[in-house]
Amino acid sequence: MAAAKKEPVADICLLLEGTYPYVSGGVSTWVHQIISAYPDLKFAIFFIGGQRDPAAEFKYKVPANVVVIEELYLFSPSPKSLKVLPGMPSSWKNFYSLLRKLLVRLPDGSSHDLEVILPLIRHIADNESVSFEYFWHHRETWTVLQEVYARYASDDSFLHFFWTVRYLIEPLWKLARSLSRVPRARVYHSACTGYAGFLGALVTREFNKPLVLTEHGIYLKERIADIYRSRWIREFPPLRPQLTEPLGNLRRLWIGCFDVLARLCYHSSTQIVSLFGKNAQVQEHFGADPDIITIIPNGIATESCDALYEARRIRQQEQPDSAVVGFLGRVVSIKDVKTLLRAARLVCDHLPHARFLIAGPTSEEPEYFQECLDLTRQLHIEANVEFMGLRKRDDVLPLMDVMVLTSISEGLPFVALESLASGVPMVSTDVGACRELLEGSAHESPQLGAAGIITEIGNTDQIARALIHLLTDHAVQEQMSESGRARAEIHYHERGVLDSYRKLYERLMQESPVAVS
Amino acid sequence: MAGIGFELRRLTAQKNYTGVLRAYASAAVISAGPWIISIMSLMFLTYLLHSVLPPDQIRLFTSSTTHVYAFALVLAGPIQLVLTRYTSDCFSAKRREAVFPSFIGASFLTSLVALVLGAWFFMAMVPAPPLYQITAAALLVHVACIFIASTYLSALREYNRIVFAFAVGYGLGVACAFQLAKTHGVTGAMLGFLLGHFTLFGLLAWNVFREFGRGKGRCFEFIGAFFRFPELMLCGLCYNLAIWIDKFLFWWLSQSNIQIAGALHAAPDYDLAIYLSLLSIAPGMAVFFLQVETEFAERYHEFFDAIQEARPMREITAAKHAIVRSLRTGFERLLKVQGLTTAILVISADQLAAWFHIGFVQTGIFRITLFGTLLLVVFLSMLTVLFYFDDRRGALLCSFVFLIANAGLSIVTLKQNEAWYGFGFVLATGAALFIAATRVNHRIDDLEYNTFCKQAG
Repeated sequence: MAAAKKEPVADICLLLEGTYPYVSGGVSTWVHQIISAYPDLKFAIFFIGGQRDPAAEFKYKVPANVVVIEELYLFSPSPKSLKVLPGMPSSWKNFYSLLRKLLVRLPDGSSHDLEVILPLIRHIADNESVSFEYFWHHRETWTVLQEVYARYASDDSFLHFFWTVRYLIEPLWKLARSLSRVPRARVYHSACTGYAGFLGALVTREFNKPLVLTEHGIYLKERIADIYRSRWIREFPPLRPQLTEPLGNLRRLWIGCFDVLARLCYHSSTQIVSLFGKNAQVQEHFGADPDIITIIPNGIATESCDALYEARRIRQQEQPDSAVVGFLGRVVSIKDVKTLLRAARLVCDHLPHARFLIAGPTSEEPEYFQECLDLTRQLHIEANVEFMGLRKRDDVLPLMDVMVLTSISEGLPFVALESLASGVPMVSTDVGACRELLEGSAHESPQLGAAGIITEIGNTDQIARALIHLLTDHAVQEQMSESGRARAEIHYHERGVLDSYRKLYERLMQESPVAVS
Repeated sequence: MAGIGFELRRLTAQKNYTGVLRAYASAAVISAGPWIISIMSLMFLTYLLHSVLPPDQIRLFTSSTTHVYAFALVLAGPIQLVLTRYTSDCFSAKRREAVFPSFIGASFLTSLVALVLGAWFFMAMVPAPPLYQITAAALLVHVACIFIASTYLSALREYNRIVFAFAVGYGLGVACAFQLAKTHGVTGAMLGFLLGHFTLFGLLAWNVFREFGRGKGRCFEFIGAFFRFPELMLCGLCYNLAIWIDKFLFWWLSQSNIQIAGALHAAPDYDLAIYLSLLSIAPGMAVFFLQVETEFAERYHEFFDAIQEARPMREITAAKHAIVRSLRTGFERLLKVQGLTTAILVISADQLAAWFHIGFVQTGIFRITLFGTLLLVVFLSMLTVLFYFDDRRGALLCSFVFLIANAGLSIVTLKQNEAWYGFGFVLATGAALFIAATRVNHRIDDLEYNTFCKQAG
């Protein structure tokens, strides 16, 4: 492709799916941190969204060193027009034979699939005159669909099969077509696998530039969990249920698709970054080469929390018998606020004056929030629990004696780092990097000691016991507070994180030494 | 976490797969129904008038009314099909209030065209008393508007009311024409006949109003439908012109054509034979129509239900096969009934000829055109099926072939002698039927594909 010879416009091009600058959260905080930290590097952003929301606004003030922001929406309706060409060009014969080859068996992300997918994408990118709608409504496509359906899903609803396959292919088609719109850069950096990672894999081959993948969570794992739970994949219960095959065909198709995307991204990355050791193992499990995985955690400017630490100490001296548990995060199901409320009931049985401050936006899942309110009433803890809504962390952290995190899934949460740096001991479920954060990694030296207590996910009793323990034993509280501050300062200061990325970028840029015009 | 996975939950089937049973079938019946009633009434009236009017006056009257019907059908045909689609789209979009305004608009538009055509033809081309000319032109306006009003009622499947209105209108028309003919001659007959049509249109319009109320909306909004469905308009034009083109040609070009008055011509050899055979389509139409309205309609809905209820493909295909079976049954019954009718009529043609005072040549033509009308019934049914499958281009194609073949072959047979008369019509219908049947077959083969990949909206 001639466009590949274009001069790069940026040093780093970030491939961001459903995050910065439109969505706030951990990944976005990290992106903003990185861009702001290197004003001398030019950044480009390729944002991938689902559907364009005309009301959406940037959640961040994008720094001046971002030279270009491109946007692509994968599920925006395609133009309706079917009249593009009188017939499918004969060159598409090969395309269909590859498609058949790919679908002969359900794709599972093996190297066989990758060998077939890349030429397919290449073909789509090179034949821009054929629109997706045209392809999708073409008779040959219909024939292939019938073959695949008859082979794998003949007991399933054809309607749902038809639309599932469409939604599997359409975003990939759009990604292939967007190749020419991706800003030229010396290094590409994706913040997840999935669609952004897939684009990264295409781009790194297309432009022959290195690709960095930083995964905060494990995209594939989350998608698989989504797909298991989802009710939007509408399938009939299988005619002959078997223990060995609990998944319907349509769910398997979806999982297979994301599996392929993830593996392709892992195989194409020059460097894979994990936030903590446990995730690195999961990436390896999903096909990443352990030799190219490196661990760079999240970091914060711990000194910004010193004032909060002081404020908390002064408050505790004034109110020596306060028992305040704080929760800082969105009130959504993945944070499992309901378990927190049930634990609160148990805590209040022992400490009737205990208070629970739940600070965070409640608008994201209004039904879930309502259920939480109802539960509070049913448990008779209205007097003890306060839903504060969205608050600044600086306003609420000093009010807490103990911080609690009941999430079902996390990466390396910034809120935990802030809690540690402010000297607030934590009770957290065993998710993401939380155990490493609170207990230190296995090879930590010198050993700094526990900064909180880890519990099982959803275990109300354990969480309540841990909270009571911390709230009643001030000596332990004190000790954990100091351990946490030390660990945050030594291992999770942002200067270490930013240094690591700086080095990584510089190394990769040297490997593709083209001056930015 | 990064990712747009959460947006996936919006991704479920976005389209509704519904087959709207359009009122085309009824449109076909309605264009055939009035045709039968009008021919019969006209024949009966002619029979009555023999006692009060001289033969040349009777010929003037019958030729004028025949021309009026021919013009009205050709003129209203294209509008009817588009209106049928427009109103049925209004129904599915739950916009019933837009229906009555479109009726007013369509009636106005049709009247205008009919008035211009009628005034030009009867006043400039037909020498007759001025009052007769005006009445004939007014009759054209009325007949065209009656077709338009029938379209609306047939969209509602209010066949009883239509039949009742036609019975009353034509009964009154025949009676008045007969009475006024006694005192005022042929002009009186025309006036009386007009009075009947006036009543008929009044009844139909009142029924339309009763069903839809005044509604609200712009009267000429329906004109947009002509641009959305040009195939329907052209199909209506081609089909109705095709039905008449052989008669026009015979009136003007046959060796035995006679000039009645000015531009009014007739071809007695051909006319009576073909009108009589066209009457024979009634039983076949009735049978097929019944099948479409009951069995076929149910199977058709079941097919779309199977898709919408997310059944596996094999059940969808099974539902399609049920449609095919219902169509096969329909065509079998149609062929049995119509074939029997045709056979009986062919065998008893001599007897009939004696009753209707038909000559030897006409009897021969009658026998030939009977086969033509047998094919015509099947063709009309195929056309109806094509409309159900929304193959508007296919419908246009075979109507167009019908028109060209009927015109071309009629000219060819006209160059020969009377022995050939009627064969043009037979061959033309045969050709149109062949194309229509091929299209129906293709359409059914591709029904699933078309439903998923081609269905508009």
